[in-house]
Amino acid sequence: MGTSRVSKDERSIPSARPDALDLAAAEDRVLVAAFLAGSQDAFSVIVNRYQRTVYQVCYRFVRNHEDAADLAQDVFVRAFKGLRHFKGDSSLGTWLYRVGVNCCLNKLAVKRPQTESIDESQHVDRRREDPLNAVVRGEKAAEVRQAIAQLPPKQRATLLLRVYQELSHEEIANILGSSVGATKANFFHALGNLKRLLQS
Amino acid sequence: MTTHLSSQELVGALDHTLDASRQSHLDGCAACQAEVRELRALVEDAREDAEVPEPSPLFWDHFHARVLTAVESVTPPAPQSWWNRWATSMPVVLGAALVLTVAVAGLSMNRTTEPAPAVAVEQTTDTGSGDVADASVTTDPDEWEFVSSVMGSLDGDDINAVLAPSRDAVDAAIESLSSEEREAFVKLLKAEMGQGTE
Repeated sequence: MGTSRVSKDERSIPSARPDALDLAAAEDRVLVAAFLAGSQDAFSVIVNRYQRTVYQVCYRFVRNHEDAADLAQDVFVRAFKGLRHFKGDSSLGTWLYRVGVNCCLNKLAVKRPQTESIDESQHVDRRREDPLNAVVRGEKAAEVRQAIAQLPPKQRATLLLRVYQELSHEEIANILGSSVGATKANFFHALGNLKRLLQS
Repeated sequence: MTTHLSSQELVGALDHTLDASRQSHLDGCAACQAEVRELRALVEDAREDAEVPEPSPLFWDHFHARVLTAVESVTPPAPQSWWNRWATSMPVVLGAALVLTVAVAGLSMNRTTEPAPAVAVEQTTDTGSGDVADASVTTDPDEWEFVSSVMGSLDGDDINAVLAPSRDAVDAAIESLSSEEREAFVKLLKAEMGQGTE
């Protein structure tokens, strides 16, 4: 959701006349204002803009397409209900990450993650890769995936957001509602646990 | 000899955000360098699993439609009205305006009753120049009685509710006004905001 990063002075929510706006090209803050003013089209654009990223975050937590799609839908329904509480202190992208991570952590709290089938794990197109490399890479990826799935929830979330989504520690702290120091400590412990799990 | 890098500093070293003095320690410390190398290798290992299988192109259209259908059954957030936006941006002004409205309405209602004899309260102010300035403030005892009875009946929560009203409370209060009262309220708000009346 890097495209949604805006400077602090751009984050205040302006009043908006939805009928006068080209919503598809509008900035996030304008979309939020238009939605709060009653424009359902603005919400449709928000979904369109963030559906892929939200799905990917969910997928990284649950590792299967069906659950990821259900979770991503849940994230947007929660966003629909909760956008009026969005203060604009962070970007819309960061706010959606927060909703998404919370949905995923709640899901993980009640259900052990279901890993994908062998067919799905081989979905990535490796036709141009040397077959031996592809096998080694695939095995390594499966080990890493299994190890990450065993990390405590906050460490797992921190690792996923830092390594895969490439968010800064400040952004992750904002999403997880913790301090930057705690986020860095979580990341350090996640790597330590990952090392232990990969060695065992 | 400086201390080895802490866990947070090791993470900082991965991101190349160490301050100069700690970077200088890292440059000369084989143990810390080994730790950073190991952490970097673990991050690279984690990246092995970076790819998320891309769903079919049709999935996104389907998903988009699915989300919009799901939110159809959800009550949408109420559109923000003009007073809602004011309430969001200036709760203190609104609170003060409400207090004024209540006070003015209460006082004007009291004035319709039998007029009471005015009592002069003399205030003596020393101007510092040796002169004495007299300032006479005439007050109506009924007005004072009304204000003191209102204030006396308020507890801390009531006062907080007036000074920092919730958006729902502001909405409800405004909805309960008649059109004339609402018009007077708008004029009062504009005057408070320095915009003048139209």
